Amino acid sequence: MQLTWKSFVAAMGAAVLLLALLGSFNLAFAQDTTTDTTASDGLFETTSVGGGASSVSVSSNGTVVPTELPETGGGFRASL
Amino acid sequence: MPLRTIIAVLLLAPLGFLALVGVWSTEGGSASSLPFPAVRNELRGGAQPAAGDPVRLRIPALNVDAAVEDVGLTASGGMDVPKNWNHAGWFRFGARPGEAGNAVLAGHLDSPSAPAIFWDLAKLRPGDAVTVEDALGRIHTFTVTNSVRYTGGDAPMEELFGPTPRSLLRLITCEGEWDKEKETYGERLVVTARMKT
Repeated sequence: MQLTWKSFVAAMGAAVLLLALLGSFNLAFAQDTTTDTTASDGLFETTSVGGGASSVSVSSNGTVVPTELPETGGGFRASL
Repeated sequence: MPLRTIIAVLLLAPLGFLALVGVWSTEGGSASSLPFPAVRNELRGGAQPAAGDPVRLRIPALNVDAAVEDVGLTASGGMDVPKNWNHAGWFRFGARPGEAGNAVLAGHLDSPSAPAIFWDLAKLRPGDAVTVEDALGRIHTFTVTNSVRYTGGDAPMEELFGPTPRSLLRLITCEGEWDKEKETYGERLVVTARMKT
C-alpha cells in the first residue's frame, strides 16, 4: 500500500480534530478545580479540589479537609 | 477518494491520535504534577506507610487497646471509616499524632450486632489520658480537653481537620438517634485531646 500526501493530510486532520475534542474535555476537567487563596488562619492557603458536593479543601501544607464526618455506626444500639 | 486512501486514513488516524494523547498526558495529566503530596498519594492508590504513622491507640479509662488503620476519603469527599469494627481509623491526609495539627482518628460506635471500639467514647472526661503509638515505637500522650456533639452538617470541618500550630487529637464516633431510612446515627461525637508536653 502506498502512502499518498492526500491520505497523510487526511490522517493529520483527523488527529487534530480528536485533539480539539480532548482539549474540550481537559478544559471541562480543569474548571472543576478552583483555588481559594483566602488563608484559613493566616498561615495556610487552601485550595478546593474537585467539584460540587465532593469538593474537599487542601491547605498549602497538604492537610485535607473532608466534606463530612465519618459514618461510624452499624445500628446495634438502636436494637437495645 | 480511492480505496487505498481510505484505508490509509483509517490506519493513520488512530496512530496520530495515540501519539497526541501520549504527549498530552505526560504534560498535564500525571498525578506528579499536583502540588500536594496527600492528593498525589491518593491518586496513586494510597499513601505509602511512613515511619511516624500511628499503629496503636490506647484509652485506659475505656479499656481500649486497638490497632490503627489508615483511612482516606469516600467517593463523596467525606472521611472514610476503618474496615474493622474494633480498629481506629487514622485520617492519613491530616497530621500524624504528635505532629503540629489535627490528628483525626475515627472509630465505630457499634456494628449491626455488637458494640464496637468507641462504644463508650462519650464517657471520656477532661483529664483522661489517650496514648498513640507510632510505627517507630514512640508513645504520644494526650489529655482529653472536651467533647462536643454535632448534628447533621453543622460540624466545623476546617477547625476539626484543618491546619493548626497545636498538636491535637480528635476522636470521632457516632451519637444520637438511629435513622432507619439512612442507616446512620443523627449525630457525631468529637472528643478533643491536647498533647502532653
